[in-house]
Amino acid sequence: MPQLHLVSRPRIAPSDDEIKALARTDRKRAVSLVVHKYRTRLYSHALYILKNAEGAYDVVQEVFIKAIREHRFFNEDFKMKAWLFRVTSNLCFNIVRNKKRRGALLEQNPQKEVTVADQDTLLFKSERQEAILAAMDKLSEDHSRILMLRYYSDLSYAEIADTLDVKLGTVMSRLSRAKSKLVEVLDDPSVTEA
Amino acid sequence: MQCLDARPRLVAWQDGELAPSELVLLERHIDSCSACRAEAARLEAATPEPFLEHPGASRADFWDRLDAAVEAELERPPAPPRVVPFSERLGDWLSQERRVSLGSMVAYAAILAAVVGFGASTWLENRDLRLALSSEATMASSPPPVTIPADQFVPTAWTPEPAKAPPADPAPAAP
Repeated sequence: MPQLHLVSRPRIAPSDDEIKALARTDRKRAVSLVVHKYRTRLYSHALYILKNAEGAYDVVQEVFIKAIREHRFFNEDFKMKAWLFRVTSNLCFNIVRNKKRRGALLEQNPQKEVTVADQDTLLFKSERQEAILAAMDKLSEDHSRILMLRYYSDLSYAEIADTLDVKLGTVMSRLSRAKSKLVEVLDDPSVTEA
Repeated sequence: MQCLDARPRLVAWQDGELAPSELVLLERHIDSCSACRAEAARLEAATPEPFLEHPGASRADFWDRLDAAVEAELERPPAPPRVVPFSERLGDWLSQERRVSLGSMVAYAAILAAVVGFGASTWLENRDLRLALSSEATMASSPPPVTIPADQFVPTAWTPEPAKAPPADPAPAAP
């Protein structure tokens, strides 16, 4: 059984195992710790996909509500981090898909396209990084999803495998293909995969 | 290691996710291959980096709405378990993402149908043959006919039945 070091050990956030152990006695406190630990990362992840602050906030809220309703969430063998990122990704890509569908319906009356440059909420180190995010929109959903999980949300290959429910080798090969495609799109913006 | 093996491993190498055994081989190859070195540089230049900061998230009250929603959800009495109707479960099952594509499923179903069909037709074709063989086997296994030696043959007496007299005609009616 994992030891609890929530007070004595100087740490920024408790580990997932420590939170699970705490949930056996104080579920409310455990939920609060999960929310504080993951809310910023999930918000950023949603923001990269949606490029809309309000939408990203709503998604994060929905994810945590779903987590509270998920009875297995604090089970010992439950991979909570992978689950949180998977649900966030799924909700965001559902929104993106619906938007695209609506966009296709409204093709006859086109609205102003929202580009990365319009988003004052995203501050990048360089224009190159802005171009990279814009290029990701032109990739397939699988490629863009895996790149975001790896580079924006900083998940390890093993965590990505858990999140996407694929094998480790698949993560490696898909990331390789995704990055090659990204290079291709950056070199020639007319190329599109999505 | 050849270029063909090295290329798919370049990204994992840059991400520090390559197994130690592969790492040595890959680095040895990269040291000697200028094309793979150039490809690695191209991939490196396209590595996404997270944004510096989201200005809104640093506000003190930014997460208040989230905290309130989480608090309300925790206070909410647990909903009774809902019995999901079969039609809904079937709909969910059909709409969920699968590792086996629909095309593969159709191919598997076709192969299964072909195997079952072949088996059934063979069985039907051989049914008559099986029936014929089984009747021959029945005859072969039946007891031999009983033969009585001639000296032991005693003919049984036979008396023919007397011929029945035809029924008498009814008397003609008086005029």
